Amino acid sequence: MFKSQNSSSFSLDWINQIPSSIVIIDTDFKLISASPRWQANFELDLNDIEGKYFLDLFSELSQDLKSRLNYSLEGLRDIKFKYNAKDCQYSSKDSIWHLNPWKDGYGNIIGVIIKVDPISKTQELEMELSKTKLILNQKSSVAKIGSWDYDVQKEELHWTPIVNKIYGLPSEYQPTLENSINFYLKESQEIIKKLVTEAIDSGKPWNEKLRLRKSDGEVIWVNTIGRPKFKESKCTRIIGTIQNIDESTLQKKNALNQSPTEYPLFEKVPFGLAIINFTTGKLLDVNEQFIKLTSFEKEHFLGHNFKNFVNSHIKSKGAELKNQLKEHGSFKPVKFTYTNQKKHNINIKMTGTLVEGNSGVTSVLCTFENITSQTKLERNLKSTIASSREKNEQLLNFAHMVSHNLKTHATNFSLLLNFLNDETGKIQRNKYMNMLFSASDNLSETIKGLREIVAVKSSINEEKKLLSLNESLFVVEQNVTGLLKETYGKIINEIPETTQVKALPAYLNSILTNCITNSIKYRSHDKKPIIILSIEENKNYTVLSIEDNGLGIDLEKYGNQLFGLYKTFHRNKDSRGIGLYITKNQMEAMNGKITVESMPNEGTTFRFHFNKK
Amino acid sequence: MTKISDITIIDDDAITVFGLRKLITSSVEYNTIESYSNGKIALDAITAFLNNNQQIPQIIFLDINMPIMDGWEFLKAFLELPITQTIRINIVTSSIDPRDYKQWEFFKNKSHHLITFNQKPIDRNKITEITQLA
Repeated sequence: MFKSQNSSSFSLDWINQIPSSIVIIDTDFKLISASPRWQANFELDLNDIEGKYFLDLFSELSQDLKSRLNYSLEGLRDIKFKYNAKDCQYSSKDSIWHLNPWKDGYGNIIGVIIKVDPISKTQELEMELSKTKLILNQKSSVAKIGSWDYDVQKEELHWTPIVNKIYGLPSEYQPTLENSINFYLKESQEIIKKLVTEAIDSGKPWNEKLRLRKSDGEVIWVNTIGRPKFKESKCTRIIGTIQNIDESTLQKKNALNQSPTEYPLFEKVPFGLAIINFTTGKLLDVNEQFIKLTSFEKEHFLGHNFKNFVNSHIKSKGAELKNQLKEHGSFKPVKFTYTNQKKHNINIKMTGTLVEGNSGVTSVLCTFENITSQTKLERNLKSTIASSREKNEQLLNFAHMVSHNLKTHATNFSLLLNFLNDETGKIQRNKYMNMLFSASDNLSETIKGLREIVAVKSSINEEKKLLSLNESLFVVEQNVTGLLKETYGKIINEIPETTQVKALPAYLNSILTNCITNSIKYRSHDKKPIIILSIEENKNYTVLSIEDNGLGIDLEKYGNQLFGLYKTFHRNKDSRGIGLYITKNQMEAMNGKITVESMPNEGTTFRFHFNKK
Repeated sequence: MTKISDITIIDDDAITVFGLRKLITSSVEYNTIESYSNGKIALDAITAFLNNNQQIPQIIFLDINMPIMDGWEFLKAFLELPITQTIRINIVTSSIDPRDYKQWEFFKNKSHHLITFNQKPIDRNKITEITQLA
C-alpha cells in the first residue's frame, strides 16, 4: 500500500492531459486518479472519489469486475469488460472497459489502468462470446462441458480440449463441422443436421440430447446447445456447448434405487406400478395409475404385505416368482384376477423386476396392466374358434352323409340300368323298371330329408318370438286329426292357457308335429295311443312334457343313438331316422334342450326345455 | 372252384340286395343265399344256426348303415360268437367317411375272420374276387 501511494504521488500529472476516458486504481482497488473525460462520462468529481474503494462506486458490477481486476493485477493484458449502463447508476451509455496492468518503472504491477471506450455492435458480440467462453470454462471444470464455435462463413469449427475428451479424440485433432457430426448415431445425425440448418436459416437456437459414438466405440448421451449469432441479418457463427450427460443419467438411476419414488416416470407411465420390499413383501409405494386400477386409497396398500391383496393362485406362485427374481432379476408376466373396491373383477397382467438399492434394500418394481378387455376378446375368439371348428366338423359329417346317401342311389341306378340293358324278357324288364321307379322315389325322399336338415341349420339366425303353446298345438292337432281317428288315439292337453314359450314358429310346429306323429307311429300294438302334454316351469326353462303309452325304446341299448341321423329303432316301414335328429337340432338352435325317458312296451316321455331368454 | 355252400347278405336296401344276388348268381356257384334287412335279424338267425349245429354262412356281405343294428354293431356281436372256422365278411358300403375305414382296420386286426372293405359300386369282377372261401 505504501509503495503504491509513493508511486502515485509523482507520476500522475499526465492523466489530466489525455483526451481518453481513463481511470487508475491501485492494488487494493482504491481509486488513484481519473481523466477529465472519465469524470465527465460518469458525472463524478475526482475530489469526491479519490482514494475511495473503486468497487464501491460500481457495487452492481463488483463481482465480475473484481475477478477481472485480479486477472489484470496478475499481468493479463487487455481484458475486456462490458459495462451495461442500465445496470449502473452513473452513465447512460454502454461502454467497453479495457483493463491493463499499471506498472512502475521496474515492471512491478502497482495497479490497473481502465480505459473506457464507447461500444460498437461488433464489439458487443465479441464481448458476449468471450463472456460465454469464460462462463463455459468455469462450468466445464465441474460438468465436463466443452464449448465450440463454428464460423459459418469460413466453415471453421473450433472447440475446447474438453470436447476432444468427450469425443475421445487426441488433443491435436482438428475438427470440421462434417466430421464432428459424423460421430453422432444415425438418428442423432439427422437431428443435429436439421438443427444446424435451422439455426443458420432462421436463427433458431437449440438445446438437444443426442447420442454420440466416441472414437473408441462407446455410445454416450450428450447435451448439445447451439446459439446462432447474426451480423447484418446474416448468420455468421454458431457458438455452443456439448456435455457428456451419461453420468448424470447414471446418477439418476442410482437415485431410483436408493429412493424409488424419485424415479421421474413413476407417476407418468400409463400402467400401475408398485414397489415391494423383496425381503418382507411389504408394499413401499404405488403410483396414481395403480390407485385408479384398484380404486382403493394409497393407505390401503402402503406398509402391508402384497399377499393380502392377491388371490391364492398368485400366493401359491410366490416362491416360484421369488426364485425367478433371484435367478434372472425379473419374473415372467403372470395373469390374475383382482376384485377392486367397486367389486369389479379385472384381469391383471403383472411383471416384476428386481431393483438393487445402494442402501442395501432390495425391492421389486412391479407393473400392473389391466387386460380385462383383452382377456374378454381372447375368450370370445377362443369360443368362436371352438364353435367354428365344431361347425366345420358338422359340415364334414354332413358332406360324408350326403355323399354316402347319394352314392347309394347312384350305384343302384347304374346297377339296375345294367341289368335292364342285358335283359330281353319283357316280364323281367318290367320288374327292373319298377325297381328303377322305386329307386327314384327313394332318391327324392333322401333329398327331401337332407333339405329339412339344411333348413334347420340355416334358419338359426332368425329371431325367436313369444308364442302361445296352446295355439301352436291347436294347429298341429288339426294336422294329425286323420292319424288320430285312424288309430283311435287321444291327446290329453294339460297345458295352461297362459303358457308361452320363446321359439321360432316353424321350429315349434315341426317339433310338436314330429313328436306327436312319432307317438302315434310307434304306438303299442295292443293299446290305443294316448298322448299327454303338460308343463313345468323352472328358473331358466319352460319344460313341455309329451308322454305316450307307445312301444318305448330300450334307452340302455340305444340311448346314445336316439337322436342320431338315420338311426331307426323300430321295424316300421316309414322310419327315416331323421325326425328326432332334426328335433334335437331345432331345440339346440333355440338354446334349449331335449331329454327322454322310456321303458320298452310301456311308453316314452320327451321333455322339451324351451329357454326363457 | 370250390363250391360255396351258404352266402348271407345283410343290407336294408332292397335294390342293393337284389343287385348283389343277381351278380353273385351269375358269377359263382353256391348252395344258398339268405338276406336280412338289418344286423339284428341276421345275428338272431346266425346264433340260431350255431345253437342248432347248422351250417353257418361262409361268406357274409355286410352293409354299414342300417336301422336297429348297423354293420359295426353286428360285426362286434358276430366276432364274439364261438366260431372256429374262418368266415369271409365283405363290408360293402358307399361311405367315404374315413372313420368307417378306421373301424374296419380295427376289426380286421382283432379277428381270425377275413374282413374286407369294399366301396360301391361292386361290379362282376369284384364279385368274383371277393366271393371266394376265406
